[in-house]
Amino acid sequence: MTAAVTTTKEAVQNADLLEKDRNSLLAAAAHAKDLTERQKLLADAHASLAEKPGIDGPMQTLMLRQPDCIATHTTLHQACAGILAKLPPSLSQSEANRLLHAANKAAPLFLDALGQAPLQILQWRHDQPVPLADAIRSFLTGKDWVTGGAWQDFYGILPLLIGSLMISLVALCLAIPAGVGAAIYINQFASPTEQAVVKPVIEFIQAIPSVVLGFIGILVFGTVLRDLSQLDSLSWVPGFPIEERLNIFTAGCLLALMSIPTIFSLAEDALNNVPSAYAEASDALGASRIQTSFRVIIPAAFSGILAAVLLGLGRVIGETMVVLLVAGKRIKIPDFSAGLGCWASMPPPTSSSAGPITNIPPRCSILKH
Amino acid sequence: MLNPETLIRKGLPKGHLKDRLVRVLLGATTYFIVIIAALLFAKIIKDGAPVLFSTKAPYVDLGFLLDKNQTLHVFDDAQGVRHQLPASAYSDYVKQHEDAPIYNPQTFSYSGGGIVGPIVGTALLTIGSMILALFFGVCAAIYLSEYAKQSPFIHAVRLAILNLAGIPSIVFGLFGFAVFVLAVPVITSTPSDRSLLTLPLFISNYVISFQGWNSSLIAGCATLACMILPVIITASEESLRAVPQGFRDASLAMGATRWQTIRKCVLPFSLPGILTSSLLAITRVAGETAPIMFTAAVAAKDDLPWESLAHPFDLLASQVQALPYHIYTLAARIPASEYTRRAQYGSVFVFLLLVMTLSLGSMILRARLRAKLKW
Repeated sequence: MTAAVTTTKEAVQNADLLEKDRNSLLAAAAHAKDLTERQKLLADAHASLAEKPGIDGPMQTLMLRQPDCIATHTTLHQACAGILAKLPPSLSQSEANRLLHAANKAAPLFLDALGQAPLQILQWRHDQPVPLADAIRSFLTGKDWVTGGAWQDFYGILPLLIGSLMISLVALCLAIPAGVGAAIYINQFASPTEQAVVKPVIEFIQAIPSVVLGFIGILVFGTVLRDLSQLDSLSWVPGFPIEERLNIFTAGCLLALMSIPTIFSLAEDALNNVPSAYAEASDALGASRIQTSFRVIIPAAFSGILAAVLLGLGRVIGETMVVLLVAGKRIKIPDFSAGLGCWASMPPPTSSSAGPITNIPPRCSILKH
Repeated sequence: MLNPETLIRKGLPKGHLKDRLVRVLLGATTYFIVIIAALLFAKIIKDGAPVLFSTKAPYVDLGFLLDKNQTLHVFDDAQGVRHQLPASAYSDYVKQHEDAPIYNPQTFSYSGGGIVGPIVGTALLTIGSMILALFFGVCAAIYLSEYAKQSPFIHAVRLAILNLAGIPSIVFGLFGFAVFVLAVPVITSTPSDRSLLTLPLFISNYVISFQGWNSSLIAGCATLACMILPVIITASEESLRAVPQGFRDASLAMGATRWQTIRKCVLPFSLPGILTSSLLAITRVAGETAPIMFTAAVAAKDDLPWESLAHPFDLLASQVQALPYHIYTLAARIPASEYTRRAQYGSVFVFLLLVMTLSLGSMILRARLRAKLKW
């Protein structure tokens, strides 16, 4: 069956190509200057006239199998329902119990889809075009991004979007405390020597090209993080141990490092721009240093700090190379039902080693097509 | 000198436990970042510097900088000696020792030889895009700051330029791919199949065909130029505005035309500022990968860009290797092993050295310029 479908698909695509060739030949013939050339082009065009392969024949075979398919679906539905009814409410082993729980949870959805399948099979018309609204809706809400498949491609933006958002979330969770904290320390508490040393160092991080960070992530940081997560003493952290080198968390850490300089310098500027009269007035009232900082200066600079954070977010969301290298290449919505541990998910397929750019991760896969 | 604020506040009580705790916490955060940055640089320098520098004369391994990139062949000979040879040396070896058996042969793509191709490609991309961006950017800045009147339209243009600065580089890559690679018009006698539109020129059989420049040096330069235009325009406008109004007034009072004034009395004084700020743009151009991935870069190329060209202009139409893309290839497409480390860390070290030098240069030059230019 698969072979038949594939050959039909190829034949139709070839016929389309030939048709296009023929049209361009005819157009060229219409513009050709001398008669012999025109004759030749026209002859070529006629020669390339291809029989449009009928899809009715293959469709017929496909349609003939409809009752079979429906019957299989119905049997499967009944069998599944029967099995589920026979399942014990709980098991002795915890792992088995977990699996049982998962199965019970997924069962209604599965049965529902199975129950609807026969109706959908009957309603399907191969010659009916997909309405534009449907196409747009499925692009925005589709949960699959499959390109280059043998049967059909799916373009659903949701997995890419969720991947981007989760990476940004991880990155910001790390970068906001670090960047803003460093800015407060350097602006409020550090000695001038400290300021002179630390500020250029942090601003120097900004000059590291993102591909270098991605390189470090793939060769050094990912391995270090995985080995660290496999220590027994750290097994209480949700998501540990991490099995794959490349995941959302690794990418998030590196993106946090990228956005820290942005957040730091802008937040530091914002703190610097608070009029010194505010601090002096607060000091004069007898407030301690820390009271002045946290009750007077930071609230006054809050809008500036927020702007810094947003610009940092902009840098994180727009970053490609780190994600391309580090975030893993499986395009799939992480399983949120598994709890907090999903932050370390999204591993790449096992054979991602030396492939060409066929597996493009979230943000840029659109470029290949 | 301490600023008065710190002097005043030095005398305040600071002995509270909470006070000290918060200070320590914030300080720890700051130094954590510094330590991470230091570790990162230390790792790259530790593994990368030995590839480029050596303790013996001539201290620099020019082979790594000046050789072409090749596949690395690793094998044992009959005596059990392990050889690591780039492809050309390997074929020589095989010719010389025709009968000698070879054991455990392994190959590592892109890992042998040097990185002259990527270095040259990055240089060409940088130079090309800077020429384009400086020309268009300075022209736009002169128009915006010297000629344009305040109007809603000019305001919108300024806003658009600012917005352009915030666009992610991959979007510029996509834009360059759609426009420069696939859609830009070229004059040709043989339009390609995927030409969007062909217009006859009525000169022999030449037509204007909207078929794009393919993946080529010029397409990459144009894409990178688009990316740094906002930086150049903003910086140029700033330096043009830093020239005192009196210079212009004096020149105009002497009867000079608007353009003469700009050429002789404004541009010469703002040029150092423009060039210094554009050094920052060079750093960005040299470091970006995403825009050139689909517009100019190629992973492997045997010739240097100017070799085996039928016509000098073909240089612009040929694909180039680029250092950031080379690093991407080395990181993503080949497995890490002891034999690939030299190529990987060496390339990253050279790249980081290049970008950091440019970045440091622009920082220092800007600081000096700020200190010097006081009218």
